[in-house]
Amino acid sequence: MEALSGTLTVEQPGTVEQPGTVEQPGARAKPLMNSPEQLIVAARRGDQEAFRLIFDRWARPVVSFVYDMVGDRALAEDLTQETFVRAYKYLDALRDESKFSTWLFSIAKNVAREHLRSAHSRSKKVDLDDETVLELLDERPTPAIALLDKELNGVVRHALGALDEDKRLVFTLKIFQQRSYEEIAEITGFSLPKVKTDLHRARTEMRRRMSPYLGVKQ
Amino acid sequence: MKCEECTANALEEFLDGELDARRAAEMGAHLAACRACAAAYDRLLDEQAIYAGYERDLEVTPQALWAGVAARITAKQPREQPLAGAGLFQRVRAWLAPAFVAPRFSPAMTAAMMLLAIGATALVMRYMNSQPVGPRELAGGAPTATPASVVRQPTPEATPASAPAASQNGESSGGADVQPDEREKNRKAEPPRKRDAERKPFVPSNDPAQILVASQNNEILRRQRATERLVREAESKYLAAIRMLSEDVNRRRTQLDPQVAARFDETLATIDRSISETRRTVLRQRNDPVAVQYMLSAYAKKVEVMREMAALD
Repeated sequence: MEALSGTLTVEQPGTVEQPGTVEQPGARAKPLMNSPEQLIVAARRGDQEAFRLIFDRWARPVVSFVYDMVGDRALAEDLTQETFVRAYKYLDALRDESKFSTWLFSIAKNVAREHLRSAHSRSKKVDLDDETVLELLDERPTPAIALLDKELNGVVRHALGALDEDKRLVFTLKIFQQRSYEEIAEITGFSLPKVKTDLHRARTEMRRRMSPYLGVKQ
Repeated sequence: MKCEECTANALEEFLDGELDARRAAEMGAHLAACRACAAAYDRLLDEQAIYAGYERDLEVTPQALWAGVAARITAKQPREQPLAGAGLFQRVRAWLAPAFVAPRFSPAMTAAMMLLAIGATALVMRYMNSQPVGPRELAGGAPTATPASVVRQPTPEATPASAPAASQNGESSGGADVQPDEREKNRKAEPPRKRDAERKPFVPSNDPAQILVASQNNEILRRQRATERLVREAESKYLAAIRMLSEDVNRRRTQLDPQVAARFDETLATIDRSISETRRTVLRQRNDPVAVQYMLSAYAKKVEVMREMAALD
């Protein structure tokens, strides 16, 4: 069961440490307590306070994820609100409460992609909102802001914005949201091989764009 | 395990914790014994450390976000319940209900949104016009009461005294998941960055003119950031109003006389082009009040036209 509180414990990769080996990382978060099912059941009955607890737990990860997808703060907040409104509306459709966050992220993914698609289709007539997305790709920082901008953050942000949509989606879910490949496949609807391929390619592209900062020979 | 099996994909899967127990153990043993593969794995870890420290330009306040969610789910109350216990008539009525719902357009809501946007616009313009020292002065024009040595100072990006101010503004350089000592270690391992090499060393000065310049530059940077934030907020309010109206406009368009709808579409397309152009100008000249005013006026015009279109019978 996914935790709905911020209290988490980290599962060790191996119960007994083997000397002379390197442990496999990628430890999974494991809940200590809480009953998310009860919150979901209560929210299904219309208990807004229960839904608010759910919201409090997941608002930050969802807004971060959406921001990584659309690249605009105000828009990410709007789309996050839309995500939770839809989640509330369709809570009855959630069959397995233990998969709540996977389900929630799949809604967030749909909301973000709908926006990106509509922005893209509008751009055929007039390029209005796409600029919010393309702003990510704008490599020309304002001189004044460049001073204050944290360099690495800027580099990661630009590199992320330059990935195509599928790769950005998979990369964000793995690297920033620490989802397993299986969960990513569930959220995105991609096959497992596609998840692996896209993730590997996304990593390679990110590495290429960040190579001056990584000291990696390409 | 042999080095040939220790591919980039395998290393990534190991890093992601996706290998089964047997392969993970083999990989772990191989990395402990093979320096070349361990170096490749270390590079992945370095990348991971950078991603772990990534900070978005986001100041999320769940309370503020929740207010918007709560307002919308309250408006939708009672929640849509399964119709298990309902009779056939209720089921059919519920099923058909969406076909007869009134447009979502609410004159009061969009008017309120417009007022917010106009308020935000006024705030932006007042703030921009009140700037005591603007980028133009910095670029060349000398304020009358400013010493000559001050106006000859370079633009902010070349002013080393501004750099420490940035870190004092609470902008930490690391993420929550990486300990400061780890971050320091990672940074030490990185090659010198381009901008570091370009930056002049910071030399503390007791010269009052230089101190004044540094202080003015910091003030300019602070105001530029504040201006950008205000512009973004005003823009987001207009975009929210546009989003609110767009669904109803699209629905209403199908009911309009085709010629009228075409005229509206043409007008909206013209306004969109205008928004797009002024927005590009604002992106190039972020602190130009005229550019900002033109852009926000274009947004306001779009909302006005959309409201008119949505209200047509």
